[in-house]
Amino acid sequence: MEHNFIDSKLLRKMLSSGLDELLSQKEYINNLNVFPVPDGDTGINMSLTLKGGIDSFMSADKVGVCLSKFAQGTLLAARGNSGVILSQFFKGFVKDTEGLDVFTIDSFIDAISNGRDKAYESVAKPVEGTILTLMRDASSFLLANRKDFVTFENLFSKLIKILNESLQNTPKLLPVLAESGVVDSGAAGFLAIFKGMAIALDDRILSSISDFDKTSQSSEAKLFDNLENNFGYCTEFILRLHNKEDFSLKSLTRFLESIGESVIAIQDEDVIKVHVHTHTPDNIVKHVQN
Amino acid sequence: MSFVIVPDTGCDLSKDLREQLGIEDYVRGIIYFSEDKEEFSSLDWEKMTPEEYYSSMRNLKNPYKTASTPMGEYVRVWTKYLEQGIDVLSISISSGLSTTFNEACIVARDLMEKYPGRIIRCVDSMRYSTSLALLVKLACDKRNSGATLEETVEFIEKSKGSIHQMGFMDDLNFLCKTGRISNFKAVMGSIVSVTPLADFNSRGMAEVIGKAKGRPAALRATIEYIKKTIINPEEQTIFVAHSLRKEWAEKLATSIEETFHPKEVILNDVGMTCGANIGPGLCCAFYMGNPISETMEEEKAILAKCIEETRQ
Repeated sequence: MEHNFIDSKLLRKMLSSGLDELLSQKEYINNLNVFPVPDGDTGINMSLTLKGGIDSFMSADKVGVCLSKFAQGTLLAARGNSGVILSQFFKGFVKDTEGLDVFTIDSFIDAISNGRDKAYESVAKPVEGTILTLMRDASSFLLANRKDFVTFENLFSKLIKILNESLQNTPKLLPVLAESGVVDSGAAGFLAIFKGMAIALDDRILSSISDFDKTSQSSEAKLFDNLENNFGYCTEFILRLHNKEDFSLKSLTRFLESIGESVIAIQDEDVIKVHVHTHTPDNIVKHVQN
Repeated sequence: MSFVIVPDTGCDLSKDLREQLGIEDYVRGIIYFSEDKEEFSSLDWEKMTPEEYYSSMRNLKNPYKTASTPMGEYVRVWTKYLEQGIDVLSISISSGLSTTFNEACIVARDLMEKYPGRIIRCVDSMRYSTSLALLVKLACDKRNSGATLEETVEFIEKSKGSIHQMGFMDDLNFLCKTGRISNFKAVMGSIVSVTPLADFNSRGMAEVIGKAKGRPAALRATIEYIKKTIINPEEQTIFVAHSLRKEWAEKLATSIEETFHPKEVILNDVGMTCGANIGPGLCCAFYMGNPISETMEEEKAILAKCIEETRQ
C-alpha cells in the first residue's frame, strides 16, 4: 500500500520505528563519536531524546496535536550535543503543524525545512560535517524536488539515498572525522531515524536502494580495519626490576605476543626495554606492575 | 538579588560551601552505577561516602559512567528563578571535557524566548571539579561585592585562564577508560614510580607537563611550582582536592599554609561526576596565578626547574 498522507497513527509507528533503528545502531553510533567531545555517547543520547518524544506522543486524532506533545517530550528529554540539536530540529519541525489533521507531502517537506532552520538557529557556531549538514541536505533536496514526489514511499526512497550520500561526505567537511576514519556520529543517528521511518512505511524501501548497507557500514569497517591491521598503539617503555632473579624475559615476551605484535623485549641487567603494538596498552602496564 | 549563579554538577562544591556562597541549586548530571540504571548525580554523597565510592572503583570491570544532562534539568533549575523575575548566570564544566556548555546555551535561548525580559548568560568555565569550585566561589564573591551580571561574566572570562591546578595523579587509566584522554601518554604516566604532574591547558583540560619520581618528590615540586606561578597568595582561598588520597591532601594543605599563609585553605573531595572520570589517586591544589600560556611551554619549563631543584 502506498501513502500520500500520514495520519497520527502512522506517524507514531514511523517515529517508533525510527527509534528502533536508532537503538539497533546505538553502539555503532557511540563508537563513531569523536566530535565535539569523544565521550562515546551519541547513540544513547539521541535514543533517549527521541524516546522522550515518543513517550509523550498522545494518540489523538490530529497530527498537529500529537506533534506538539512529541516536541515538548523531546525537548525535556534531550541530552548531549546531538540530542539537543535533534530536539531543536523537532521543535522547528512542529512549528506550523498546529492545525494539521494529517501530513501531506507538502506540509511534511515544509516541516523538514522548518526543522532545519530551527536547528541551525539554535547553535551559536554551526559546524558542517555534522547532523546539521544532513538536515540541510535533506531540506534542500526536498524543497528542490517537491513536485516530483507522489507518495511518501517515493519521497523516503529518494531521501534516504540523499541522507546516506550526505553522511558519507561528512569526513570531507570535518577534518577530525577524516583523521579518525569515521563519519559523524550525530549524522549517522539522524540517518538511522529516517531509515526506521522508511521501514515503517514499507520495509522494501531500503532494499531497493542498491549498495546502501555496504556504504553505511563502510565507516565502521574502516575504523575496525585500522585497528585490526595496525594492532592499535605503538607501545614503548623501560621497566626497572625490583628483583631480577624473579623475572623471566621469556614469560614477558609470551604475554606480549598474546596481546600484540611486533614485540621486542631486551634485558640489560635489571632494565628491560619493551616495544609492542597493541590495542590494550593499559593491560600491559598492569601486567608489568604486578 | 537580581541574578543567581548556577553551576553544574562538575563544580564539586560541598553543601556547606554552597550554603556559604548562596548557591541554592545546581544542574545535576547523570551517572550510571550499573549498566542499565541511570540516576541524577549528587554533590552531597547521600548514596555512599567518597571513600566507599573510590574504593569500589578498583573492583569494577567497567567504570562508573556519566552521561549528558537532560535539558529538562536545566528547565527545572532555571525556571524557578526566571518565574521570580531573577536572571541566571550559568557556569558550565569545561567544554574540553563535555558538551554541557553548548547544550546550556541552546536551553538558555529557548527559555529567554519563553520569558522575555529575563536574561540567562552561559559561561564555559574551561575548568572542572575543584578548579570550577574556585571559579564559582570567585564569581560569587564578585557578585556579593555589588557587581552586575555582565560585570561578573566579564570577570569570569578574564579570570578562568589564570586558575591553575598543580598536583599529582597516581593513575591516569580511568581517564583513558572513560575516553577523556585518548592519548597513550596517559597510560605511560601510570608506570611504576612515575608521578605525573598536571596543570590546565588552553583547551580546558588538565595536561601532564612534568613527571616526578614518587609522591614526596611530587609534593615538593608542587609547592615550588605554586611559588613560581601564584599571585597574591595571602589574599587567596586555595583549594586542595583529592580522591582517596586524604593523607597526602592534608600534607599538601599544611605545606601550602606554612609556605604561603593564604586567607584559607579548603580541603575538598573530588565529586561523583568528575570522580567517575578521574578515578582515585588525585591530589591537587587549585589557585589563582599568572595567566597560563597558550602552548604551556612556560609552565613546562617552570615545572622542569622545580622538579630539578627539589630532587633529593
